[in-house]
Amino acid sequence: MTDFSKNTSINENTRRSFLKQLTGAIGATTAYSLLSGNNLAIALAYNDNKELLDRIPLLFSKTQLITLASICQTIIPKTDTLGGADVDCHGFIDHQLFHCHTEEEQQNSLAIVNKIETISLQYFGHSFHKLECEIQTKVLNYLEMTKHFSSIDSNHFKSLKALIVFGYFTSEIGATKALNYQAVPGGYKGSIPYNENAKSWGSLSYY
Amino acid sequence: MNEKLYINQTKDVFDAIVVGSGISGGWAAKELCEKGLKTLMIERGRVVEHRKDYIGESKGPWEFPNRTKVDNLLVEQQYKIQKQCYAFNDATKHFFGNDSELPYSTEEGTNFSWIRANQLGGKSLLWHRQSYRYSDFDFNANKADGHGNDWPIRYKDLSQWYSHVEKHIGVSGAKENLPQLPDGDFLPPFEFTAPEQAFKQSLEANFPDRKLIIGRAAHLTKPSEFHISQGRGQCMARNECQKGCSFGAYFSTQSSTLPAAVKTNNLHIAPNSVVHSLIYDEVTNKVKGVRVIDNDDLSTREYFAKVIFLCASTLGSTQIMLNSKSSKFPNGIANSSGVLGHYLMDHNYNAGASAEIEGFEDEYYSGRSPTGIYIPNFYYEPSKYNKKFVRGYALAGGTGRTDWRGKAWNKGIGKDFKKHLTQAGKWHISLGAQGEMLPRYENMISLHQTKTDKWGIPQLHINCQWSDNEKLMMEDAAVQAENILIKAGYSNVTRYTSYHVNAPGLAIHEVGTARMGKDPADSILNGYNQTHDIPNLFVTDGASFCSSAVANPSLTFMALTARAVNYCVNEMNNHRI
Repeated sequence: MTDFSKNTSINENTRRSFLKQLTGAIGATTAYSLLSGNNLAIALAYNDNKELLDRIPLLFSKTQLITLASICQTIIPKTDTLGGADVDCHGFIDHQLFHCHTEEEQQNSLAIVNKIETISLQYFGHSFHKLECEIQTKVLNYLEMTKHFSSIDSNHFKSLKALIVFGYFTSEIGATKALNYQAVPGGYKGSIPYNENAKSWGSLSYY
Repeated sequence: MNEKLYINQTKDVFDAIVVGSGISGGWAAKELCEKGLKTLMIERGRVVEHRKDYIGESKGPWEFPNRTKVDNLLVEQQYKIQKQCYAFNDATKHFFGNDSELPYSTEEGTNFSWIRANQLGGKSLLWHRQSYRYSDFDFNANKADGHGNDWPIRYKDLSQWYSHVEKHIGVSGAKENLPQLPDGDFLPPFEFTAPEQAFKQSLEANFPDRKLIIGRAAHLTKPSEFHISQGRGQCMARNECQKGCSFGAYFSTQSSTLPAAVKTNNLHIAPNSVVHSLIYDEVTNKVKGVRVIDNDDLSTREYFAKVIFLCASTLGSTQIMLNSKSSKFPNGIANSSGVLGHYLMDHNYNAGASAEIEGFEDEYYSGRSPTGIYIPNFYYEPSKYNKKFVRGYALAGGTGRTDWRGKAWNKGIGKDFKKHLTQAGKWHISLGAQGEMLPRYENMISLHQTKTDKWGIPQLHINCQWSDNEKLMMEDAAVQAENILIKAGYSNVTRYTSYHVNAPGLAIHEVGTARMGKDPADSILNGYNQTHDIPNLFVTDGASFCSSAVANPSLTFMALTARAVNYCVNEMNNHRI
């Protein structure tokens, strides 16, 4: 029988250690605001999106899909172009994992989404999607950059991230707005000038 | 298209039957029709009409439910083998065969990936369009080192036919004056990127025996009046060719040979017609026609002609011959030598290296080049062979700037990461080996003793393996490619071999099994692709090859076919056929 108490109750030492490290990573002020429980429950607009809540996912539960949406939007946020959840990366991932990936890959993705949600509940007492955007970013960044994740978790996170990136840049917005899209280039030039602020090509040959 | 073009039942006796409509079949039909012969092209699959049936063309990835990837269940049910092809995706899958309907077996302990394209146009719709002439070093290789039989032809026999073909299809390339890779009648070449130009200088300075050239490809970089009159246009550099190209900018049956054949009014096409076997008349020692099973309803019919050209693909043509048995030819038609089915080859694409290139941050490219860079074989004659193996390989590759597909695996979350993903990243370069495979008697196809397909045709049984020569060649190719990249000063150079993972077949350059030769005792075809045994039967596709050579074979399929038709018609006019 699964020992839920062990998994969900916050071990005070672990929590203190995690928060201490996180304080270093995200700055004392933010950490304090986390601890004090203020300004946390700012849900993104899409979290209240009726379409998302009404959708019947293929692989994820509705709750997991909401967590995934927040992860997508955190990894690829809205800037001058829309973010990951704005273009339904989470819906795409649910679909894509179901149709084009192995059962193992499906389970790995579910596991890492659950893991992030569990960490959020454990340490902040809130679902990941309820955290402030800035905190979400810092948490994922922290998890990616430190040893908090096991190497297996790390690999699952990498794969999920790659799928989010694939979903984003193969979406119409991602390919044509976040990148520079040439449907019909009209010919090939081997050398054109480039500066680092320019968008790379979103029109690619998919082999 | 002319509605009378497509036929089903007919009692007509045609001047010529061409079995197959791919690269070779399209050329046979065009040449026969243009010489005034009433020609029937037989295609086992469905009709694919130019433009109209390119259903994957001009779509962004977001327009495919799985963003160009193919659903697991569909792959499992229909495309377990085809999925291995680099060009297989949701936008091209309808041009690949359904594996569940096209079974074949392989000898225990061996494997062969047989890529199929059973529709009008065949693999001409899906090919990679690299177009190279073979040289006398290729035609002489078997004789020079004693592997396989001597090709009955030399470069002088084929050069005018290469020109004939190149002018019609349009081949982009640069003249290089290389002994091992003869120049052709080229349209302007595709451009190098800036790092490719620098790499060319470095390679040629460090290795005086090696050259870097731009890949020669059957694309209209600058269409001629003739090409435009055929309804073809300039290449738009989309590099999505295998979806079909409504610009007709790359050579396919649909864009090039079919319009030419149709224009003569001498062409008819029998689609959905699976050739079971050839009808042989022992009295006259001629083939009279073909037995066909309907692709859809499995009904049977026959078509008749004065000459027959088999252009049904390397394995397809030989399968038909093996299944055409008579008391005179109990082991397959025109197989008095007994070598039918033997000496199967492919190219070995199982080694390479890649690296990162520092600098060139202010350089980029526009459009998607449908070709790449190419280092022709530098082991092209016995005196230049590597001591560990015979024959050689080319190295083909390309450069590009890393995009989100590579960067997706980098660390980063949020705005900065998003920006990082949208910028052009580091330049990278890759080189892949394209190795010659020796003709070996043991590498062979035969008809399965008991298993048949849904048309009742015995399945092919394939027994084909890489030999030590091919493996040693790949080991060397990986090291040489790595060396070349290190000498060029690139970083993070990594090399690989994959011959232990990939069985033959995936280069989709299968050749041999009905080889040409001077001696009827050890070959099926003479120097004009005519069977030694039966004067009115020709095989002009890859089955006819004596060696795989190093370069891509399609241009040679075309040149051999055009030359064979010219010979055949001359023989008919002189009443020798």
